[in-house]
Amino acid sequence: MRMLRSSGEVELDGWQLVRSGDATVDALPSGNLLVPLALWRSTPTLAQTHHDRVGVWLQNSDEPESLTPDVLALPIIAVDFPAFNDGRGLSSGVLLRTRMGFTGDLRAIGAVQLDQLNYMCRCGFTSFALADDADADAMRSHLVVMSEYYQASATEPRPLFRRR
Amino acid sequence: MVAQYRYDEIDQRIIEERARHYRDQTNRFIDGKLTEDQFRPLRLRNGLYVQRLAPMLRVAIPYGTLNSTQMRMLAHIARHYDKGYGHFSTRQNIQYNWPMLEEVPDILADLATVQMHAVQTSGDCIRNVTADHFSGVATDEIADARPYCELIRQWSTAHPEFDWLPRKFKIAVNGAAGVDRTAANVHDIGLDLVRLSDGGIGFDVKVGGGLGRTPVIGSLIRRALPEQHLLTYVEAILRVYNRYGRRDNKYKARIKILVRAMGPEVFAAKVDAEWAHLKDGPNTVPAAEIERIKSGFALPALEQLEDASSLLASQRFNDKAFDQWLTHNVHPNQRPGHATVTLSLKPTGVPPGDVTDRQMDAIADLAERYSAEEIRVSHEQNLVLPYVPQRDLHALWRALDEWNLATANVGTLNNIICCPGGDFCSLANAKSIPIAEALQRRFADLDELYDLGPIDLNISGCMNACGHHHVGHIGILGVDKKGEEFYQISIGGNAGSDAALGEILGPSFYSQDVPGVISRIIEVFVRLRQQDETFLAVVRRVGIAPFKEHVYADAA
Repeated sequence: MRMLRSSGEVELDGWQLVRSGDATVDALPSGNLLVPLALWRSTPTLAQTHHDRVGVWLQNSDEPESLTPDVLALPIIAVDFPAFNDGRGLSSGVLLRTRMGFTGDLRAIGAVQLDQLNYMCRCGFTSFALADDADADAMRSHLVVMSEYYQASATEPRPLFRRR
Repeated sequence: MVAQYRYDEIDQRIIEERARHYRDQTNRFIDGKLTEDQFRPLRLRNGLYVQRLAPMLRVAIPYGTLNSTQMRMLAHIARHYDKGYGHFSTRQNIQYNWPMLEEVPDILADLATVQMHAVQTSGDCIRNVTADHFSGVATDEIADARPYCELIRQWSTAHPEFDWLPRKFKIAVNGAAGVDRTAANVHDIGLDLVRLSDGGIGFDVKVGGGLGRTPVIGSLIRRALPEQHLLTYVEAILRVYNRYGRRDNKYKARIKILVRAMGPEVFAAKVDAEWAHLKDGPNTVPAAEIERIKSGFALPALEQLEDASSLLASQRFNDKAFDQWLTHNVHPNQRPGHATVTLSLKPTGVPPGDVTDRQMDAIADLAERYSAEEIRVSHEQNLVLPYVPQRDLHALWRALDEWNLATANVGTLNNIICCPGGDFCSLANAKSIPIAEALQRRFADLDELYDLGPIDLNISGCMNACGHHHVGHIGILGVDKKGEEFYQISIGGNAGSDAALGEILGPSFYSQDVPGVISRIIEVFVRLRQQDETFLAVVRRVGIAPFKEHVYADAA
């Protein structure tokens, strides 16, 4: 699997997504894993016991404000988009970046489509998994679709009226 | 110089790039790279619906203000890409019923050359921010609301976080004191401009109003919000909505549902908690930015004129038709010697709000000659010329009359607000336009019409209430009963600052019976009114029982 960075690079995806809510600690695959927040919370020693790196993925209903410092210190947090026109995760991204000060890789997973990429980037998302048949060039060209925006965002804290 | 927000190079670039981006999306759809489901939200955010007979394009007219050059472009689009007419909507936009999907990128490119666009006129995002059609000229105004509409328009255009909301989001800004011509009480956010104790401008903020399946009057959640906090506070509301609004059921997804579920106090507290993080941050609007936007709206250098009431008095004395038009379609203006003129788009036999391309060109010419090149769109589906010298009213009236734009029915029962309905709209349960025409014919006698006083009659073809039937003094709703078109009648609604939702009279009626039902309602009103009580006042005084009784009197 490949992934696309908001800066445009296409790389091998180092992270495996552990989807199911009934994933148990004993049955986790090896490799770098993105586990559900609930699993992380119920297994405080996970980072120590798992041989490889661990990151967390949030449902879009998981409140960023509820995340503890151990989660915010992770190298990666992912936010799930259950449907491509469900923009709740966009607020999650903004809050993780601006209010919670998360500085790691912020990934959008789930229903991530070409025309949502530019919104996600501006909400602070920095990586996207690419399906095997994804057109990486097309996706890269849709990371940025306008040369200017009026409003502030997670990536530009000053609205245009402060930059005009 | 036209009194409008002045686009600079960046504003221009934004709409041009947006139009190019939509062209790319259209091409990808035509090439099969986007499915219908994937393309739908993209085309909606650029104004394109797919309707019963043809696609419909909704072009934005921000806060209902446009100039002659822009009106000529709207005429060109009607002529070149459509069937020679357009429809002005209850949210101050214009709708074209017959564009071809593959030509819409060309339409948007043409619109961009005159600083127009169709950004976010549909879809689950922030829509056109509407204002009083008499903004800047009304004698009962605290301040012109439109610069604040423009501020919100810019902030909401392609917003990274709020373009994928649970459902559509409509904002209205009212600048008048104690009166509301914007229906702010039935908007997702309704802002009433207020004068603060320090002399500055602020807003009373109402949220969660709306029509449709679950009509609700908005709740006041904050008073006297100083203007520099407008964007941070609106951002706080949108973030709470984007996070907690329902997405499981399309019919329960508007913010009004969330406000009612939480209760307005709890909702307000959540907004305040979010706002605490944003207040005084970078989205606080500097006075210089408010001034920059306002400077475009500065009233044009109108002639200094004396009041011309005595001239008008003699003119109207000699011409009954002119007198009737002056009484109903002409309104006071802040500027001495000037008046504000409503162009009635409600002549009998024309779908309410429809204008031909040739009429649009004529209106552009008349605006240039008589109204400092400026035109407004009212949510009542009429047009307004805001700066007409009183001494020119008679000449303007003659010209408007030639173009069938001078029907003297503004403020009367025949100034019907009517959605496109079953003739055009795939959502409709019933036709609405034929009902409007039948009623206008029933009440064609102007003397009788005037005797009835102000009556807002609103018609919607379905529960989505685009015709605002809930807030009509008389409301008519098309319903589908056993596969046939029936009409439910309500009375006692009101769209203004003392907003109210109408009460349904009883079982629905066949279309051919509707004019008779309205006649009976009017009969009761005329029988019960005391001196010059208005229809709404009578309904509020006596309740619906007398009306219900007479309307259903000889029901078998």
